[in-house]
Amino acid sequence: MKKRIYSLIVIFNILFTFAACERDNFDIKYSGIRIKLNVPTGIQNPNLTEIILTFKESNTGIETIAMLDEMDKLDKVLPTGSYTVTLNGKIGYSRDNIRFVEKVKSYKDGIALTGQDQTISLDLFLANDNAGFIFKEIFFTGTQTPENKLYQGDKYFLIYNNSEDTLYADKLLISQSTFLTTTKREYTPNVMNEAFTTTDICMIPGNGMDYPIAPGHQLLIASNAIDHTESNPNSFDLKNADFEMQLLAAINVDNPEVTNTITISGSMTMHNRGFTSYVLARLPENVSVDDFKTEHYYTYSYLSGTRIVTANAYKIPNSYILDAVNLTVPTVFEWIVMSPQLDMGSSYAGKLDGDTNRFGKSVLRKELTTNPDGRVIYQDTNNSTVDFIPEATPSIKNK
Amino acid sequence: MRLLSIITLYISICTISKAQDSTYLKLQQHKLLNDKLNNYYDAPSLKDLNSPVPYTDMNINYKQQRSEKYIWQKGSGFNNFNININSFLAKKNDINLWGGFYYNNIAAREVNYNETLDYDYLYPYIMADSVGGDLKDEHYAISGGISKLFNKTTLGLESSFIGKQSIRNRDPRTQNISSNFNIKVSANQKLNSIYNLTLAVVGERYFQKAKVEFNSELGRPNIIHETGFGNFNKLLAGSRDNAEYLGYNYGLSLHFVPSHQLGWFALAKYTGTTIDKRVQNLADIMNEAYKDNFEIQLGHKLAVNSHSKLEIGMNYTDKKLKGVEAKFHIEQSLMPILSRENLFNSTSKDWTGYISLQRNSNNYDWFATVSSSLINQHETYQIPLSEEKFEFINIEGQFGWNQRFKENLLSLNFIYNYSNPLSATREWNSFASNTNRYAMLLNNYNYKNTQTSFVDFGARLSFPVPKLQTFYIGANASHVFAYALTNFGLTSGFVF
Repeated sequence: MKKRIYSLIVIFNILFTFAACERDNFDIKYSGIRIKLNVPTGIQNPNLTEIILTFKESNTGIETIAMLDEMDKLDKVLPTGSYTVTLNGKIGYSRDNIRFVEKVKSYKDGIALTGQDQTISLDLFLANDNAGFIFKEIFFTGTQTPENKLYQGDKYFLIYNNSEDTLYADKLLISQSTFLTTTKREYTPNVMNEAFTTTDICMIPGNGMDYPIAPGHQLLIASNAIDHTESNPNSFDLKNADFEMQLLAAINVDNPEVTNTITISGSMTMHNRGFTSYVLARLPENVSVDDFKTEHYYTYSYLSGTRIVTANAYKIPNSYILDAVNLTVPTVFEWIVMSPQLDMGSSYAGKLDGDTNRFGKSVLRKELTTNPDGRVIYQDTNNSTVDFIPEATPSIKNK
Repeated sequence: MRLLSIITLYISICTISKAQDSTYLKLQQHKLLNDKLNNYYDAPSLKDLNSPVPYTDMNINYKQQRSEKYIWQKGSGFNNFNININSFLAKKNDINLWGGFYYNNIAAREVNYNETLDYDYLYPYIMADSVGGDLKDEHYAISGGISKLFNKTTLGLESSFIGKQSIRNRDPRTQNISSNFNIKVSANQKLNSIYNLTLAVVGERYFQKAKVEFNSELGRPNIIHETGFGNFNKLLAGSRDNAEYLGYNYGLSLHFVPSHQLGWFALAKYTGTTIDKRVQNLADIMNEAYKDNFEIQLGHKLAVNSHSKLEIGMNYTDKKLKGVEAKFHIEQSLMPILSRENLFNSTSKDWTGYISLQRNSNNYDWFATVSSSLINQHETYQIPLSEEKFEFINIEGQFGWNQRFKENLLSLNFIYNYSNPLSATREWNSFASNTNRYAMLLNNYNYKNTQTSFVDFGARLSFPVPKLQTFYIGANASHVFAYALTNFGLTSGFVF
């Protein structure tokens, strides 16, 4: 009987030991991360600062915010998982011997971390949270016919979505300055630092979401949206423009297949030597066109010789303005006709006043970089002198 | 129809059975005086030692529970109709046979954040949504066993099958089916005229197929696969509306018991569990739960005089749950597994001691028991770090009385239980405090962290009926003050 008792106890011990033995190791594994940052093409002397990376794990939804040390190594280890990383930071760079600092971003998904140390390569792209619609190109000079006659119906604006988001062009205002960059005067009252003075305003129609413009896409707004090459081989085909401006009746040719802009004021006859400046603006949602015209009617006066001249215009508050470009003729330039907060420089299509070489030339914004998705980012430092290529070949010409 | 068949079977068996008039009295007396000893005798080869007479007990029960405060996943209450049959027969040649059957029909109310059966077994890896609602459950069980004495050794075998289904007839339409097959083998060696040593081994297979459907075209909530503390796998949340659970339980126990419920008692028991969870359209296992339960029990019962006995006992249980989660990676519409990590852990330790005085005489039996427990519970989740920790003290007094009036037996039972959380701490870092998930966690935490007083009173009266059968009818009512929980039960049956 003792044998049986011992047998029972021995069996119990064996089974107990077997049952209680240690199972597989399911400890959490962590990966050390090194980041390889690829600076956007065309950026010179880059200096990255304030880099913050956010890693989001897809299974748990947990976000881990981390920074880089001097060796580009993450200051945190990350548990195993399927990650998406976003990067935010600043990049300093040089262009034309001027130093700029801009925001820089990056994004990458599908990163599998399995406990081994890894190097993650991130393509950086420039990002401006305030980026939006910009003037990509202003063709204001017109062309000459083979017979050297002026041809003025082929002027245009190219409006570009320089942001990362789809924007709506509905109710965008394009406005030409009343004041000339070649004639400096003391206007009274002086509202230059708070508003843009204009008598020519046109507006893109729409109810708010009728004209979506994807990031990196543009709008062509033509004076006359027709194929100008039919009558002037030196001109362009603008019949596929997105919008057509309503000019003075004498020079207006209406293409019924292209939507017209709405004229708010004046006739948007673009100064063909480039004495005027342009802004892109949008009224606040709670301000109607009529309200704007009532509230921002501007009567000013200035001394012309010994005579005091009084005139009327509209003033577009700076806070409504999305982008601004001063145009001029360098040799006769006297001042910029807006707050330097909007544009502290100017661009041109002809160096001399009356220079006939200006015809067929535009001011074209410089490309800053191209994002990994192929989207071109244009330079926008609120300084047309550095942001624009003067006397540029119109981009429409080659299309 | 199924229910009607069961009732018909019940009545038929009652009318043809041959009864023994003392059976019920002996059973009730044994139950009253040995209530705390059942666990020591929980092995097939010890069944005959804990069954004073051959018997068949057939009963119908109804129970209703309502509670204002409750664990959301378990619901606010239920109506439970139950039919139960148990029988123990001693045959010739030292063979004992026993068997049982039960059918439960349950209407559960306000079950939320849980779309699976067997919440306690599968916790924390349940399938859930935030809508929930009432459920209709049906449970069936059939069991049988045999033991035979060979000289001084008794070999025993017992097996059971439990089937459950759960449905909801509105969105979200739950359709869950679970099965549980259990087999237990034991060998008992009679050491001397008093004591026995038994080794028992148990094996069990569990399977559940949980499914949720939606008929509404107006929308549906996300189906969530919970991982503890309100966390869930974001990648798999949405419309993976099916889950399968496969569990294996295995264990062994060593029992040291006297043949006649008098003397020293000892029990050491281990039960291990592995549960795998799979979800729709995923090749790999999503969650694994590993459980280890240890239990040690020691007691002594001595005869103070010919009518009085004094019983003391203590037991210690240690329960551990290790939860393993898989992480997946989206790769060309496939979801390969990246890792299996132990994120959820739970431990529970329980120290209990009791003292019981029992007295029996010709006309009455009674017992009075006082017990106390100290319980430690600790749950953690590693990333994001979450933790809950409780320490409870539990004091219980129980009093039972059997009074014979000629051929009738009146059984009374009273329980008072006081539970007080000595300490409770929590840390949740998974979501904002204005979310419904946070409200769920807070509700469940507050439910546990509540000082409660539980009272229960039960009475049962038996009558002899023609053909010498015993018919009994009883009722019990209980109340938990802090939860405004009320439980009411009725029972009626025959013993022969």
